[in-house]
Amino acid sequence: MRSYSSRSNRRPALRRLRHLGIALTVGAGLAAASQAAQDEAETAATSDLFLRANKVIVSPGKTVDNMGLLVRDGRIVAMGSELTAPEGAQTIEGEVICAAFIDPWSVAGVDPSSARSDRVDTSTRATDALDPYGQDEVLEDLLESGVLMMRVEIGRAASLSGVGAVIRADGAEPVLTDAAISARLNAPGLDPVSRVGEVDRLASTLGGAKKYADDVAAYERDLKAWEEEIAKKEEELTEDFKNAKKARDKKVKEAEEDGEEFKEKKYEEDKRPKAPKYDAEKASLARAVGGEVPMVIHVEEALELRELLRVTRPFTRMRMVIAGGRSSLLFADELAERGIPVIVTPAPSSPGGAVGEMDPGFALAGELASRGVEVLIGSGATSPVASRDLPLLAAAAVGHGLDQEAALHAITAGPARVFDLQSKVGTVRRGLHADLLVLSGDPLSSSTRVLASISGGKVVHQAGN
Amino acid sequence: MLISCLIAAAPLLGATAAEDAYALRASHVHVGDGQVVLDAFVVIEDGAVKSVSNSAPSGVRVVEVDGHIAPGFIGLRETIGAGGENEERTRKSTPNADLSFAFDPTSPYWHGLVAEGVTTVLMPAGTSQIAGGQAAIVSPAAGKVLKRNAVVTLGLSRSSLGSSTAPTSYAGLYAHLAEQFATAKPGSPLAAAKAGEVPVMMRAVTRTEVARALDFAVAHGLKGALLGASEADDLVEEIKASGLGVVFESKAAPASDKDVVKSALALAKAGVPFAFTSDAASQGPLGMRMQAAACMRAGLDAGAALRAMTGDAARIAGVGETHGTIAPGRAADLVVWSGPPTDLTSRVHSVYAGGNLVHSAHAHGAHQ
Repeated sequence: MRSYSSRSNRRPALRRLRHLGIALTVGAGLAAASQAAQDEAETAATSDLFLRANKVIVSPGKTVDNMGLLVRDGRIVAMGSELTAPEGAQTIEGEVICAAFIDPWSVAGVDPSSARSDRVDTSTRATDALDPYGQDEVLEDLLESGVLMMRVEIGRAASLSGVGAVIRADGAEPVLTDAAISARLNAPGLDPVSRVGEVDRLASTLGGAKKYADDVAAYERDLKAWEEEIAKKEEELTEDFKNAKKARDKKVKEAEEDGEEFKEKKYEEDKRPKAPKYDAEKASLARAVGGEVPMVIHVEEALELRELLRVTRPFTRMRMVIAGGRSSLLFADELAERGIPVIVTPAPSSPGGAVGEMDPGFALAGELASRGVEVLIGSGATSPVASRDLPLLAAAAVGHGLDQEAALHAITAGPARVFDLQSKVGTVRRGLHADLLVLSGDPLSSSTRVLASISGGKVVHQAGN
Repeated sequence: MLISCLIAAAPLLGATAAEDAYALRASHVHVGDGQVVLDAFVVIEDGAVKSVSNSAPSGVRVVEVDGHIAPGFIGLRETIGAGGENEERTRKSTPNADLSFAFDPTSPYWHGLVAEGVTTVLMPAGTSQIAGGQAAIVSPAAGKVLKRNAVVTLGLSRSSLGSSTAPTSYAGLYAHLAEQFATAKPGSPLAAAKAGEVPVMMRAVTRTEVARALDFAVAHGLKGALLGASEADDLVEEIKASGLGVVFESKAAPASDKDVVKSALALAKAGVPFAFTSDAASQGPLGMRMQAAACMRAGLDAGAALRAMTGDAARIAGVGETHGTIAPGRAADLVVWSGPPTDLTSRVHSVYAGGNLVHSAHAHGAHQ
């Protein structure tokens, strides 16, 4: 089940203090600065927020000029050019408003030793490794840079790690507790035969999970049939009860008369179907195989990627996402045809730059997009602070061939869609959660500043504060 | 001011233009000193910029380029094409070493740097030496050494301390360095540095290393820049008083060292010149631009960011009179960008070194 975690009280004291600061700025206008600090914090959290910009990027490629947005109770409740700020609302204005950036491949907010652990399995949950206290400074930085949401994963050293989550940078609050299952096929130290073997091993594990899911489904089907059968028999017996009792009484009597022992008729009950032995790991992985949650596989080299694409063809319902994919350009057509997105981390390939199709370096994102592959841009889950550079990475991808719109999609609407959050975040629409940025210019331009970050309707960063 | 005198000089061109002269015309010409000339012609003759003007020069072939022209970037520490030949590992000081001998113009790595708009680099001695030698200014695009013995490089950080070879302490390091300077023969590189004739580049990383380096520089009358100094924001006044600039060590992942961003903003505010290393060997060919862009996202204005990668970098390297800006007499090392040169979203269209087209995105694109 997907669920939103409720806002808990585990917000660190430091952050409480900062929200207080914002509350005070609002309060100053109302000449209420002397009011008890705690009360003010509460008032600010629940009051209206009004945003206005000369350009609102509703979704990548679709902009509306001069628009106002009203945010109430964490959601965008109204949008329009005629909209004005309600009395008492905090107002923030800027040049551009767009959806908050989402890092689709991050470890920010996660306890670092869990992030690099090898002691995880497919049922381990990243939400258990969230560390809003130890990662407080990192998360604060993300609010400044506009990266307000991340898909985080754990168990970098394990070939199959657990259930990743989408969290807000604000307090490491989970938005989606089961965003994806992740796996890794990136051990370039091994010889080629072993590397292909690793891919086949993953395929057989996926196959095992699929069989488990099939067995569970078969059991549930059989159980239902059995229960129906039993119910039918019970009904028959109830209806025939009087006749049956008469017949039995007669037989008991006859037996007594004959001096024999009466033998009860034995009803042959159908055997209850036997449930497959519960396997948490297979059960968890089966959700990915069945397409319920995406399966993110970190793979860089052509050898593994080619084999992976081959062995996963039978898993038609699985929603695979390639992470890294340095050599994925070689398989662009198949990736496009099968609708497999690639999370690219724009980075120098070799010291000298691009070395061709095997490793196009910074040009990878643009090249993949031009071949029809959906590109997401992620910071690569190597260090918690790396997520802060997400807008720079997207800009560098633009500087090497990716369209502006595709680059913005890669860090907003794209991750929201791939991880099933498009009905909540990733675009700017009425009814969606207010995870927004107010900017001084175009989202990816190097001279643009993040004027304000709004996370779940709350102002969590304001330039100059 | 500069622009108006350039425009005034423009009519002098005309019919006398040499056969090999040509002009590039672009919507924006970023001079490299903070100024931008709109709809301008850059006239190039004999490998150098002859003029920048708003009016079409007569008798000169005009090449219309689509985008922004900026000076080629200058990377103030680049050893990618040195193959490790810039570091003398058995001796702490080789002050007379000429690092131009470490330059391998045939290294295939240079092209990646040129394709990102870097036309000039400073090749210093390795970071483990104390007085490792004299940095060379080279043009990776032209495959030429532009200036030998340009900057005296000094390593005053922990990386210059040995564990079992002297010096093992900062006190020992400075005693060694002071002796080197005291015994420097007239005409030698260290004597020239002491006389203020040749700039120095002193690597000092932590706050205390920077404070020691500043003391030494002031006491010995050294000019030039600190290298590293990521916590320079704590010592802005001291650095300003010393007259030194700062060369920050670029990170391809700027978030990994936020201090650089903070310090760059503090220095810009105080008017202290600063620049960045390119360090493509460790950070990739885009490291310097990523670092500059990170500073800009935090509030550094585009003009200051461009100066740090062009005009100020050239001055810190002692080649401000020949490189780093687009002005009459300067080398025609130019890059044509699709947009503002400091913006990461801008693409390199073409690169000129000494007036010659050395890279064109259309010809060299990864997969055209």
